[in-house]
Amino acid sequence: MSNQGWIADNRSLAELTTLLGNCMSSDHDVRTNAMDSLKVFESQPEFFNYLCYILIEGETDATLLQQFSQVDLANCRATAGMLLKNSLLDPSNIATKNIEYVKSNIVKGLQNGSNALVGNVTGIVVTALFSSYYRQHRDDPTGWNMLTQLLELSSSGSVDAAKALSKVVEDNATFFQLDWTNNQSQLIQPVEILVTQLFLTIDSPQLPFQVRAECIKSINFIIKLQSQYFIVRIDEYLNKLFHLAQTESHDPITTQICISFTLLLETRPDKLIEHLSGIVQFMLHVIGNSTNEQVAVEACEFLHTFVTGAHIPKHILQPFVGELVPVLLANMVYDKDSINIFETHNEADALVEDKDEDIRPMAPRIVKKSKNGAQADDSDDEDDDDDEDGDGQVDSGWTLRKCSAATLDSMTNVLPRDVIEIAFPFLREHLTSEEWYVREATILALGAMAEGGMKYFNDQLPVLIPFLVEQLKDTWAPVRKIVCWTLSRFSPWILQDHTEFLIPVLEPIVATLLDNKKDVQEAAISSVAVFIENCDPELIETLLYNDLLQSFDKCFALYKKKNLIILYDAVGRFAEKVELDDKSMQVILPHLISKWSALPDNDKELWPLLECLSCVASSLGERFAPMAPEVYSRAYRILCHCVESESKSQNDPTIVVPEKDFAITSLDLIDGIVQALGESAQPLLIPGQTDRTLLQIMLECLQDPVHEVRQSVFALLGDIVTFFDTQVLSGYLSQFLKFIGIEAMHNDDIEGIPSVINAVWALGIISERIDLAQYIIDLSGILLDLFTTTLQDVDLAILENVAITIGRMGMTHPEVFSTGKFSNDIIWSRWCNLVNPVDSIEEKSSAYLGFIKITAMSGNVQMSNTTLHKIIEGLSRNVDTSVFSQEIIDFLMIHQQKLSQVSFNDHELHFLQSFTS
Amino acid sequence: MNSDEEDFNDIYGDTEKKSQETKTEKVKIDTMAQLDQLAALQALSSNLNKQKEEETNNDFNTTTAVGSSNETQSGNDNSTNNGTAAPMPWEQLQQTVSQLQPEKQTESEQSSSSELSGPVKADISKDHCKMFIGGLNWETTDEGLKAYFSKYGNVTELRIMRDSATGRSRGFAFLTFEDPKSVDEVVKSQHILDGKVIDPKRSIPREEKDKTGKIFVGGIGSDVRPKEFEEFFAQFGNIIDAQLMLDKDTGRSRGFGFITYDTPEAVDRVCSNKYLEFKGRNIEIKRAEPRHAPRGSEDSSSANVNNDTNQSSNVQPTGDNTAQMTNPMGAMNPMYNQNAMGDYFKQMQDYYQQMQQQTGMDYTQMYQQQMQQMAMMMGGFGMPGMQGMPGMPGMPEMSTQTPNTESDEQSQTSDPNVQTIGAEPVDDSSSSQSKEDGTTKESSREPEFRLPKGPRGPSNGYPPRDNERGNYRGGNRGGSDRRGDRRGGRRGGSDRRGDRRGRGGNGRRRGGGGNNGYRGNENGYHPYGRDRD
Repeated sequence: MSNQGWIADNRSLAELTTLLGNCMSSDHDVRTNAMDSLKVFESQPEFFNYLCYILIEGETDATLLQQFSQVDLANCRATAGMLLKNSLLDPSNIATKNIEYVKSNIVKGLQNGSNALVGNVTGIVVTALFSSYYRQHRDDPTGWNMLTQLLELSSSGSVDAAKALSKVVEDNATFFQLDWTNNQSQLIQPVEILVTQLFLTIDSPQLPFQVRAECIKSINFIIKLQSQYFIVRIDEYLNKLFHLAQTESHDPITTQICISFTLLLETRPDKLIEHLSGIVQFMLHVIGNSTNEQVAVEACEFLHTFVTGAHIPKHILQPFVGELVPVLLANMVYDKDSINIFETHNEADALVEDKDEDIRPMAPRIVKKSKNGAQADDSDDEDDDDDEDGDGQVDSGWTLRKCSAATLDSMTNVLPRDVIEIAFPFLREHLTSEEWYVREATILALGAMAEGGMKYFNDQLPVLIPFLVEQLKDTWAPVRKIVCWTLSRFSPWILQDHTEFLIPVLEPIVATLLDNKKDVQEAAISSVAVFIENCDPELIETLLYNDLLQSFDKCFALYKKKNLIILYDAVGRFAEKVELDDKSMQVILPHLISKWSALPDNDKELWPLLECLSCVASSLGERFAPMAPEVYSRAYRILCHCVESESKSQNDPTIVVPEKDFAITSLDLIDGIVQALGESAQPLLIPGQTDRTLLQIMLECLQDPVHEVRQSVFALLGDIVTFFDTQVLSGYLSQFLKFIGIEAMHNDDIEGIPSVINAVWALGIISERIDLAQYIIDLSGILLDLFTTTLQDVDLAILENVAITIGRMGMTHPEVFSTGKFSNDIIWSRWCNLVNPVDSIEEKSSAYLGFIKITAMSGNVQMSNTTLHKIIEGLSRNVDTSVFSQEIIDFLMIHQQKLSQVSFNDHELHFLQSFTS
Repeated sequence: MNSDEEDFNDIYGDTEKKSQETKTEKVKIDTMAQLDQLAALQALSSNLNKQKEEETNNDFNTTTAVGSSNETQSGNDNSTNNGTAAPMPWEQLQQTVSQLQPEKQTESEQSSSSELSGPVKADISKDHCKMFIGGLNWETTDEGLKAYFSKYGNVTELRIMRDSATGRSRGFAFLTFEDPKSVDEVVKSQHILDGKVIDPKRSIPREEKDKTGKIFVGGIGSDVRPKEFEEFFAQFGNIIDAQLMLDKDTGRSRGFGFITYDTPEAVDRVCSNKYLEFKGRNIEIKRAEPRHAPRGSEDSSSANVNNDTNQSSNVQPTGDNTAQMTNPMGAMNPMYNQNAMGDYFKQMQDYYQQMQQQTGMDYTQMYQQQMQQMAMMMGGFGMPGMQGMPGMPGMPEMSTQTPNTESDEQSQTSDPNVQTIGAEPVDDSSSSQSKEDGTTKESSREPEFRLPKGPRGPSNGYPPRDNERGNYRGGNRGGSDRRGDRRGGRRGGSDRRGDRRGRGGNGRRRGGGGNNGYRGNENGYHPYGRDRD
């Protein structure tokens, strides 16, 4: 270890430290110069050594102490640490730079403990070292060493070490279940020593509470592993927790205890069940007494988990309802600060422009952040939010109120009758409270209970709903806001059985769209969107079309940035529901087009707008034709840019790749145009019959790891095949089919379900129009595997599409399904179960046409009466039998004997009669 | 009567053969032991029904009582239906089919008689030479189709719709005759071409659709069948399309539907009755809002009670007093303010009235009771509707305690067939009654579209929007919720696109159901929505 004795060169040291200081200079030129000079340093092999040295030895090095003030030095040390961390996270550095000195010395930064900043930064460097080096180099005994050092330091009371440890465990817990090499070259799984040592530490009341809190936090990350080392000691740990719960009152510890219980409830509810009463009491105590909301939130999270846990039987929960409901209701009132803010910001603000920071950043959806557990320090962020006098900001962050509402919601779904019985007297008492925030919370509670308690509310709603509508006139904006939401929660009740309420409820909400308070507008437009979503198209067309159109028109004029985004969404849903007519062309489209022209190609505001345009285009149909070329060429341009920069970035990491949402929304818009124009979109997409660049780009996109991109491509593919000359695909078909096959085989990611659905759907469309010839064997095999597998739970929507696609393939190739996996009565019966509820006549008809052909060829399969009944049931609804009546008559003839043994209902009989005449 | 006939009746409804029905029951009880239970139930329900009648007779007019007995009757029909889900040999199916024919004839006779009696019927045959022909054999050629229909008149234009990719027939065609009479002839009979029963329908030219009229019908009983629905509304005019919305799962009525008449006058006739009685329930009629027409003339709707009750749905908060609304859940508000309650009260009355008409329970009375009690005592009062809750007074008892005299009076004077239940709840200020009268007159003179309960009633009846879908639905095809819509046949609509929008809300920390718009709940308001971690 030549580096052990490494000694810093004083001149270099001073130079680098000065540079680091200059890097943070407020003078732009100084900063730029320093950055450039730093690049020279970076190439030196000892660069990491210097950074590390400055970080950990800054307060002892004579040279540095001489040349720099304490304050400057502290800043430089932190900068050195952050730079070191960033460099360590770059894999190329790990390979080329010497990190021996860092590995052996970095822990020193945790030992001195005099400077919190240095301690923190060191912890971050240590974590980076584990994440980018040790987890891959578990045979390096210094890793094991460092871990034990962290444990020792923690048990001797170092808060910095304990924090570093919990960060390391958070990021690397799964790796600690693998073998690491210790000093004696033995293979050891660190999780064992972690459990042992951490248990000891949390048992030592003399240690600082922060250390113990951090150690429980570390254990919490280990609980998730369900490691044997932990499970065998779970009872012991529970006892420790109970003890801590009774004796400790430090917020950080209480927070971690709550998280611990929540995790245990998720992983091992059996262990907690007999203690539940005590634990619930503890949580209620914390909720009721904690002055720190974040602690109370964690306690409430336990209740939420308790209530939502699928593995917790109802009867276990039932005895607690009486205790929980009042606490939840009480905590659904806004906290004092929020009330203050609302009360000082109740004036009209509809004309105030949104500041960019008011709009929640549109983080790309593909970023999957793994935010493990809730951190107590999060609460700091929220205080910041509240300080920005934006009234809408009160609601950001996860609060006790929200968690209570979510818990009440879930609990009502599980035990509606019990919950309502307890809650009603409270609601009745508070619904007309003089305090607006009490009314608000009561209405929130009603909305939260709506879903689960709908049928128990049945008797009250005819009275309650008019009352709620009246509250849309409340002077307090938060009340109007919550009423909009709560009414939308009852939309299923109104739309399914009580349409007489629709207009009286929706009209006032529509009027509220133009509320003078932006927050209320937001809730109103969201509410309208929900109603549109749940409403029958006929109802909208005949009763609401003009009203909504005109309101949207006014909203476009009134709304500021933030609410515009939601408005796009509502308009999109509206367009999806009903076919837009010329009037909407005049009313809606100008708004969208002017917005569209104003935004640059790389503006994220384009996402919701493209999405909306896609729906509007598809709904306008041929009326969209005049706009189509311009809109298409821009969507195409954006898509091309995404794909190009994606492939360029493979070789050049400096190229900034646009968010995937640009690709997704532009693909969707292109699809919208295809849906709108049908075959007349072909010259647009495939110019001159020969330019197939778009197909090339689609194939590129099908290699994208982001599910949503592939999902949109498959949707577009299906529509292209539906509407265009099938010759368009020639030459590309085999590649598309290959990707469809891959998609269908990789179906185990829940996030990827929609893209599998679209792939299978597109395959069905293709097989209906193009002879799959040599591909049919492989593809049918893949589908059948998916359809018949017992190894995994395949998503129902996937199965439905697989069933339809099997039918569609059977139209032309029944023979591939007439033997083998598909040819048995149970599978047929399953097929019927999946296809019978299908709404779409076109799909169900072709599925059944193929299916009937398949059964006709499967002569050796004995069809049961149940299956026969299901088939008749399926054929009798939503099937256009006119296209294959001969096949059906043949089918009926074959099964004539059995038909007399089945009890059909009127509808089915009527159907059968139509074939006997 | 054999079981075939029963099925026959089950399918086609049989309202005029009550005596036969009793016979039917006898036969059934003899032949099927399993029906004993059913018979017992029927006996029980008819007993109950008598009791109910006796009770309600005191409070409600006889029509209401008849209504409720109708309802029970239809209940019996239903149970009979269930009973006949018995084995059904193939041959019997064919017999049943043969019995279908006479019924069809009567039906067409009925409709033609209603055509005769129907006044001022718009001449729908004028310029109506175009037809939609569905159910074609794939093999049918243009020539074959033309040859077939030429026997009804000169075919000027004809197009079988074909798949653009394969050139295969899509099973339907559009055909234009020279003479509209040919269309009339074609729709009179059944047609078989190339071995398939084909389905010719009048197609309504776009510009002509404005001359038709569409209504919304709400409050229909769930036992109503599409055919009954259509038959009932046929009394007002020629129906182009009747669509009863059915529950996808149960196949039962979802309580509302749409009727398209060939004349706006037919719509006027229906709408002259704000409420109609149909199968024992008072149903609600609304003129469908026109889509192309300009926003209705507000003043013509001023006679509308509902407009009066709440003319301005004010965007701005109206003042503190709104916060002191009556607690609908029964708590007493010490700040109760009679004036502030005015609007609200009237609006509520309208709701109660609706409820009463649909459930036969007198909510209005209950509401008034509640108001009185609130004025008298300051204590908490149980919510009227808390029937399901323990310890709460049940609703029916309450309703029978307070007869609604006005409702009696009105119903007695109204036509028993087309009953107008304009029962205005008793109100100390008689103004609302006179208003109601005014409305009735107004509406009979110039029927206007009314949104009965809204704070603001957009008025005016207009013909419905051009709607392609109408073309594809035959007047005689009840029930099947069939759409020839471009988007109708796509899996996409909901699943494909829907999924990508991330609806669903099963995230650990999200309350299900809420508004998840573009990219989950990032957009749209949800009071406890939370971004996915």
